Amino acid sequence: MSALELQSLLPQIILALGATTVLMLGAWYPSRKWILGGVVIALFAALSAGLMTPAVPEVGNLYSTGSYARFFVVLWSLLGALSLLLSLRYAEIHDLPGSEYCALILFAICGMSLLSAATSLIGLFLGLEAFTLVFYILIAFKREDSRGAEAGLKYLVMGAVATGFLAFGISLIYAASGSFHLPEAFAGLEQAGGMRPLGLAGWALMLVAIGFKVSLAPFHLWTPDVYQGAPAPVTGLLATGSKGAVFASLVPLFAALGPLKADLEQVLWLLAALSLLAGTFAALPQRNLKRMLAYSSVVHMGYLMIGLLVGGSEAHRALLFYLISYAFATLAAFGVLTSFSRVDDEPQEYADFRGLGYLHPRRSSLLAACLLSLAGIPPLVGFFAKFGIIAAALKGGYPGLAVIAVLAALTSLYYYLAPIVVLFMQQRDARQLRRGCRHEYFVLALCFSAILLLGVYPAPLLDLLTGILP
Amino acid sequence: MISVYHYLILSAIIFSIGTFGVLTRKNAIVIFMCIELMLNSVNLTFIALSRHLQNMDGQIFVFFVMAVAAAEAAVGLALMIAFYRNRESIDTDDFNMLKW
Amino acid sequence: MLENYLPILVLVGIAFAFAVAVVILSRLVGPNKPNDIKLAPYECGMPLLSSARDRFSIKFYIVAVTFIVFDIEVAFLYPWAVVFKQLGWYGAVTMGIFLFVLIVGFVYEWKKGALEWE
Repeated sequence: MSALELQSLLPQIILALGATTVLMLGAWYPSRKWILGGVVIALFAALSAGLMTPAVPEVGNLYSTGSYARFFVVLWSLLGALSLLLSLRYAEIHDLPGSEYCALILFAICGMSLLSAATSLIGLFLGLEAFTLVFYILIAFKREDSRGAEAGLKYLVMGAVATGFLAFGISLIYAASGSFHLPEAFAGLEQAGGMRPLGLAGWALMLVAIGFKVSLAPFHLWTPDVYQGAPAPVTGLLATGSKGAVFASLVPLFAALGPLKADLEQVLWLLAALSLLAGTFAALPQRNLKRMLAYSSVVHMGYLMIGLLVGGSEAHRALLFYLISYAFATLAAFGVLTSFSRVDDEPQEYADFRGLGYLHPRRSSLLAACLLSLAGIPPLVGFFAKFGIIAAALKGGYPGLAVIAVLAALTSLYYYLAPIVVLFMQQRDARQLRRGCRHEYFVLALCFSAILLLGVYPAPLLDLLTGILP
Repeated sequence: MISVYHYLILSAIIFSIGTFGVLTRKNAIVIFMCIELMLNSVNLTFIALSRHLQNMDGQIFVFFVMAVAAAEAAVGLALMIAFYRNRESIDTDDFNMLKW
Repeated sequence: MLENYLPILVLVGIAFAFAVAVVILSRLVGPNKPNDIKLAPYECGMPLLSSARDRFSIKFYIVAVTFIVFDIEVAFLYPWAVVFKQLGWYGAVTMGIFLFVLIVGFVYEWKKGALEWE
């Protein structure tokens, strides 16, 4: 690896080295102020990715340094910085070790940026594992909380099995094509002859692993338990960054797939439809906000899967737009939960929220706005995102999926409105929850303006996405 | 004569044994051993293929798989200690606080 | 080719026959008066305090966690050692970076007191 290559990978190196430095300094000088240091490091990485022109287009045949990859470095670094800011007060109240928490989040961001930049199956595997390993720890970060440990172990067993499937799938693709580098791996699969069935079996195993990681039905059963057991700010990053990074890496993967896609089409169709249906039906009876958001995330992954299935630059642009809108709304929703949480517990049952709209009007309305955006109510960004995906499905010749998507969106109104009704229309007997602090209000305001502005004026982001798509 | 197909079949069998163990066993440590079995069957595939294709990439992947497996085992053991401290058990039947 | 191993086969045969002969002869010729202490697995040492099939202290698991990481480090060192001469300084520097990362982790662990038994 030459100096030029190292320089091209600078944002990721800043994140990894910064995380190590914070970890080591924190061992000698423990303080929760390190979380603020982490915010600075993440912003610095985002800046270097945004401003610097890389010297080489690809590092070590593993990671791309193109504008697509750098866009996602910026996005994940910003999301990471926001969730670090959100966690500041939370870490203080729950007495979490600051430097370790900060270092782990930075490592996670580094892994996500590597995954979104992967141009080889090795790069994909390493990026994915880099942040999943971090999340195993972060989910169980509150050591006295036995629910956290249980959620961590559940995620670990599921994630490790998925890792096994992913590695075995990659080995079969390697058997058929003899290469890990992306365009060659698929080109080799086309002319593989006798080994071609092996390669397709490898793809099937990889899809199972990806289904586990982004919680597509029928591999989504871990999602609600893990969401419920993990600390709220960690759940926020898990729901947005870790799933988003996998989809960001899948877009170039599927663009390189070529004629092979015809073989996978039915499986992808089934995954998308099942996620939409299973997520919707499981979300309907939920009375716990975190579990409801978990099942609704399964539905959102179904929408993203439609974008992937349709293919072509327009559908992929709709997918990325959807991903970003989903990320901001979800992060803000978990941000509100974070800022409500007290020493003993995080409020998440609907009963805890009864009449809260009058006690804490600003944060309650913000939560309502996030839920409405996720449901796809017009002035907010979620509407355009859903519209883009459904329009792409119709144009791409998948009317069946479009119908299912519309029905899922309509049904989703019920489970998104249920907590809003509890917040604003029920008898007020709620206990006072924790007062917010400046950092939390700043992050929430930022997410809210993103949801609103992108909904009113999405053109700049759409243009940017058109520019970066490979 | 043993060909690459024999290796592939052997590793597929080991992988299936590992998967079966993960699905049926109750003790978290035994589940971990089954996961290691799955990952090591993958390593066997890669080494056999690397020799068959006369291509070193496969062996490089084996090292990454080993590193990931070690990291996963370390984190897994740490999580089991955390779980055991709270609940005095590592039986998967006791993973029952988080449900519908 | 295979006949080169014939002496080894002969040796294995003699060793096996000798062991069997000694066991049978001592049973036939020697006196045999068993009692409780003679039949115990060990004739000397302390009596058992408790069953050995007990749970281990959690400290052993922490040692295991540490061990796994440095165990894999050695697996990485082997292929490097094989081609050490061909790689030259490039390989040495790369391996130095790799080891440095592990040492940082080790120092952290030391500082946090994970290596202390009590």
